[in-house]
Amino acid sequence: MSNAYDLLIAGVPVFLASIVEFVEALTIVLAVGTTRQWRAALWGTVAGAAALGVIVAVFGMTLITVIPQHVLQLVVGTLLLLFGLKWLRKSILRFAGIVALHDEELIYQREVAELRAHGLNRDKFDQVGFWVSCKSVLLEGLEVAFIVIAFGIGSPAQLTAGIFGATAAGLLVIVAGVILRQPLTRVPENAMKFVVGALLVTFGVYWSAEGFGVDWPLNAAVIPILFGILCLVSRGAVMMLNAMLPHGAIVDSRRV
Amino acid sequence: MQSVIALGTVILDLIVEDGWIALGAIGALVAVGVETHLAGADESLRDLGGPLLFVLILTLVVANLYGAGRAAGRNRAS
Repeated sequence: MSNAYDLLIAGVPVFLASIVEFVEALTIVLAVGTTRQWRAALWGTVAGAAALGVIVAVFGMTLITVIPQHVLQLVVGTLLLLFGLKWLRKSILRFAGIVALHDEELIYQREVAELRAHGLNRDKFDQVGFWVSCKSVLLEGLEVAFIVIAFGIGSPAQLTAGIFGATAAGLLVIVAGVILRQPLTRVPENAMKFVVGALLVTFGVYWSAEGFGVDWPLNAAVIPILFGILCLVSRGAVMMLNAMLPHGAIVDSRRV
Repeated sequence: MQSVIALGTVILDLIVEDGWIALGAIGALVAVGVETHLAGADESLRDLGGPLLFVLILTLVVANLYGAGRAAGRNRAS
């Protein structure tokens, strides 16, 4: 299998998904750094990233090398499907104006207010800042780790392409954060979440069916067709919701 | 024990937001699993499992969003 194929099938989706997750983590780390202590924010980030590296290395390689391919396809396909449906549903509800768009600036301001409420001794290493940064990088990164492993199950080359995609996204977000020193509010978060959600569902359906022993017509070439149909149906769903609620609703996505 | 439950909740939260769509997806997978099992050695019948799963998932997404739209309308009205 060519490098270009591995990059397309694993590297690009992981890159897009990782941008979304790393932007969310950056917002919290920036809030910690500017309100409390940069040393604690950066060490928290390093600790979270190191924990993630261990998780991907241990679980990713173990999953790919130890578990039989059919079982792995079914398990990972199921997880991809559940995870993708969550992202796809939320992004469609956001496009239709039923759920509020993700607002990095608002989240940043809330986090700053919450962090300022804790007392701070400037001479000591800030434990609160360390753990808030570490938790944020670890939780957002866990989603990245999951996506890297899920898109990398096809082969070690695809896992490598996924790791490269996630690393590139991480570096890009870090560089942008260092240069701008503010939340990355202009990233089209919902559009990216929609594309990645649709890709996750597509791959989830593809791998799950393969796990059941199904041979797809056109083999892997069916993936872009499934993705296209899913995008069209999703567009139709947005139109349906717009017709049902022309003025939107803005409610919590867990309550609808 | 509490921290294990908390960790489990965090991990579950990463994957599932709406319980109904998750249950529906698992139901669709079970249905396709049964179909491919019953198909046995009949390859053409077994290979229908993929398109069947895709159609079930599309139906699930549209039905869930329709329900979400109705629920949002009710929440806004109340």
